[in-house]
Amino acid sequence: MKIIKYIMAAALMTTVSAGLAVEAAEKAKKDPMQLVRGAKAWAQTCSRCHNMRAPKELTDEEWEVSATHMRVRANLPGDMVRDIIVFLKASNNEKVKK
Amino acid sequence: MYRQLKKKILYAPLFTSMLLMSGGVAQSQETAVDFKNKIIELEQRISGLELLKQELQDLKTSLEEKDQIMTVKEERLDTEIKSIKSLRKTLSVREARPAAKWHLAGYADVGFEAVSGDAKDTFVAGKFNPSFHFQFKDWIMFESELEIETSEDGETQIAVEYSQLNFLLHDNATLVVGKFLSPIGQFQERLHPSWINRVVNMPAGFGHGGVQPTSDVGFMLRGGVAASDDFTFTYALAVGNGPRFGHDEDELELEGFGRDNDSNKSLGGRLAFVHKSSFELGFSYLDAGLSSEGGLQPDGDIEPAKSADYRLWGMDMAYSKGPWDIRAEYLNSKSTPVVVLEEGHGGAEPVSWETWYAQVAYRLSGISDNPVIGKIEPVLRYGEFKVRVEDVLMASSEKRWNLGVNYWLAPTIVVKAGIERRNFILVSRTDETRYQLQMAYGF
Repeated sequence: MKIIKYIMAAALMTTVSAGLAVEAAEKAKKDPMQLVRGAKAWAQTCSRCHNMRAPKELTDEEWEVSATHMRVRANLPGDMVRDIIVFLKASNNEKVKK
Repeated sequence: MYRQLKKKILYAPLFTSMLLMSGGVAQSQETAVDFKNKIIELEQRISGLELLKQELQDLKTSLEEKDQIMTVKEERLDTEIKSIKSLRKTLSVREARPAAKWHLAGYADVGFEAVSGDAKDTFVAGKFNPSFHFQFKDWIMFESELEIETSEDGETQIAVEYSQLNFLLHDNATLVVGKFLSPIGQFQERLHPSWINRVVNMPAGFGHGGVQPTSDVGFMLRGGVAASDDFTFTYALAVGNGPRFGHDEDELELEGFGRDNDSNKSLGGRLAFVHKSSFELGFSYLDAGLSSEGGLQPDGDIEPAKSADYRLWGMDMAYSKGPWDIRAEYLNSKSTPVVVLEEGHGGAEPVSWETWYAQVAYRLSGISDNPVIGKIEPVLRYGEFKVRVEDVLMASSEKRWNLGVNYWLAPTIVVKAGIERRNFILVSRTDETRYQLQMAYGF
């Protein structure tokens, strides 16, 4: 029964927080300082566990997924990860931009 | 007078006639010149018209040629427009797809190991660990890592390291459901991949038969919060099926089981503070119940039913900045039998496990600009592992030294050479020296 309560609580949190996550993502799009913060966060956080990969190693789409993976694994705040993604996408010289 | 008048009258017509005659000759002479001039003028006009006609002909020819060229160009343009339309269609499909994205990562390694004593030198087949990440928008990510390796008997072994759904609830909270790597400590979750681990082997007490849980099945809430401009607070709180008794009395099975055997869920996690200087300090805790129904085991032994409380706590630190990579970790766990009055229960014995290690690696790029020397990284690790059953030290207890040199071919490709000295605490067990070589590639 305890487990059912845990699952119910988790489902409720999922519903409430999904809206907040989308709102935060929209807000971040308008911030011109993201690139600077992203470069700083990239330099400080990635090397805490492993050598840093060059931004050119992955495409925009791959960096988005890879950074989300690291957000979960390294407990990085979501806004910091969005900053890092902006920096990596701007630094990988991918020709086709969305 | 009359005669003069008559003479004048006679002369007048004559004069008039002469005058008329002289005028007619002059007129006839002007007409010929004019005619000649007109002929010349007409000839010139005809010549001009001929030129115009030629020019018109040239123009017509040129227009026809250009028309042909235009026709060819129009055909090409039509083809290109069709191609662009097709491309736009493809791109519009792609633009609609980024809601679902994926990425393949992972690592692999190969190696060689020579062991002192009677053990044979051997090539190590190593591991291949592909890791799949699938993400839907900024809401959900599914990720899984397989571990594929060749056993000593030549069989291919495949295991699921983790297989989890991540719900990105909030910037500071992610709900993880499924089989996940244990959040206890820092080594198992973040440092064990061979391209990240600075030493060939894991520290003593980590891995099978050790203290460190490897994975669990259940759910976990985790995330990070910027506590101030200088500090970030991170947390991972997990509920899972928990560990089980191992085959031997001094061992536990600490990997995630797909089904709980006793309804006793494990509860644990890790809290940590990360300073902006790249210094991290973490605290871990795990509480679980162990039980076994006993009975006839697959190997023929008869096991009594037993149950115990299991508790683990630990601390870890890391400082990784520039050429320095300094880490230390301590884990302590105990299994305390639950005394049950029912017959057949209480078969467990109190067991305690303790392990710690400290490790320093330094990349020579910190002292040399030479591109070859700068890729060299000496590393030193020391650790201890002690297991006690009813306060009696077990044979697996050891002190372990590792000294190595790494050469980084690329940020994610490393060649590691090392010496590992295992000093077993009980004299009944012979010490070992291992000479190790490994190449690891993170992709």
